Amino acid sequence: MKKMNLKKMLTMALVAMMAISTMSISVSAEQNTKISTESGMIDYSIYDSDMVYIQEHADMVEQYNEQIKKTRAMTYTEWSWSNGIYSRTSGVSSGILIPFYFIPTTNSLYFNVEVNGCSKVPYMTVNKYNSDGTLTYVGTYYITANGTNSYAWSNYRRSLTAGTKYVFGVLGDTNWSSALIDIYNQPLI
Amino acid sequence: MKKRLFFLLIGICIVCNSTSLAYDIPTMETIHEKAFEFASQYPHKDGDIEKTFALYPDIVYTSGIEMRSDGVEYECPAIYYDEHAKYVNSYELKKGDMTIVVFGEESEYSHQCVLYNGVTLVPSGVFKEAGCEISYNEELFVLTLSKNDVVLGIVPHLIGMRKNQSEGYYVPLRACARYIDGELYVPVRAIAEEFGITVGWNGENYTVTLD
Repeated sequence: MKKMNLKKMLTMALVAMMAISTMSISVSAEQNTKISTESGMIDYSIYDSDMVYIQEHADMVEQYNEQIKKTRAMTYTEWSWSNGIYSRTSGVSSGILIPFYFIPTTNSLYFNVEVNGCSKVPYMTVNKYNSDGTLTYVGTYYITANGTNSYAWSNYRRSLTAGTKYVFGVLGDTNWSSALIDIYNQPLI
Repeated sequence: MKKRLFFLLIGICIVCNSTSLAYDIPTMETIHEKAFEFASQYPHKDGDIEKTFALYPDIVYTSGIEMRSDGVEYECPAIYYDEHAKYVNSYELKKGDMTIVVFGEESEYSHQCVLYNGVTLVPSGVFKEAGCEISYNEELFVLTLSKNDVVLGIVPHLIGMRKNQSEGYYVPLRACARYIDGELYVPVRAIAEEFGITVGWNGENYTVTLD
């Protein structure tokens, strides 16, 4: 009797595994389904590999949307290097948004960044500030780990196009205990 | 009978699992990690970054000087994340019904172009038709294209491609290479121009030409 039950349980487990496998195929197939057609062009944004990535990080979508609203609501003014180092500290937060744009005088800028209490790796986004006040995203750097839930850069050089206006943001998950950023145009000795 | 059913179920499970693996695409975390591994192969030399800015003054570029565990410095371009791009500007990725003509012959990849914010991306196989040698490092996700004396190392989502490897520098990209439907798409103009191939565009019949 015991032997029969074991076989039955094993069979049921296999059927369940099969169902899960089949489900994963149908999800993949759905991701590759064309959803709309325009004249001459096909909307491709729903099923490319990046959307698959975003779907895998669905828990962050709300946070992204909030950041978009905040970023779009900001106005930026030029940071004058005659003021020296741009420096800002922040208490409990999920990121540092900087209301200035920076123009490198050479092809480099330097950064000190420290984020504490962050359970996911924080990152810095680099955006170009356009003449009409909009931003164009350029790329992302992740901040280097510096202990448990602590991340830092020290006198960190970034190559940037001289004369171009840049906007930076340090972002991550919620409930940081503290954060700071310094931006300067000469290496600290 | 039960025994047969048992083996049949095992067989079905194996088939189902192997099919779903065919859709496996590297995550951005993996791409990020491998991009740094790729870049760390090439120690930084004074003047490399300046060469990039001098040769491509119109393309906005950013990279960082990183350090390997052995203390050797290397340059790594920033990585393009679509979800970060969405913070500030909506990105546009569309499949275009365009014809690709390579040296007078219609490409087998015709009608597979993708437009990313106005930059045309094509399946990397187009460059095989254009006479380039192609190899793909499955471990690092690096596509290498070479022709004559030019070698390009292309990593998906890296905003620069490595030209001529150890003695080279990064060529900045307006739009990075990316996986689409499991295939690696690359920016056609930026790559073609590095190989001295002329890229033409006929807006009347939506045709990209490589000559």
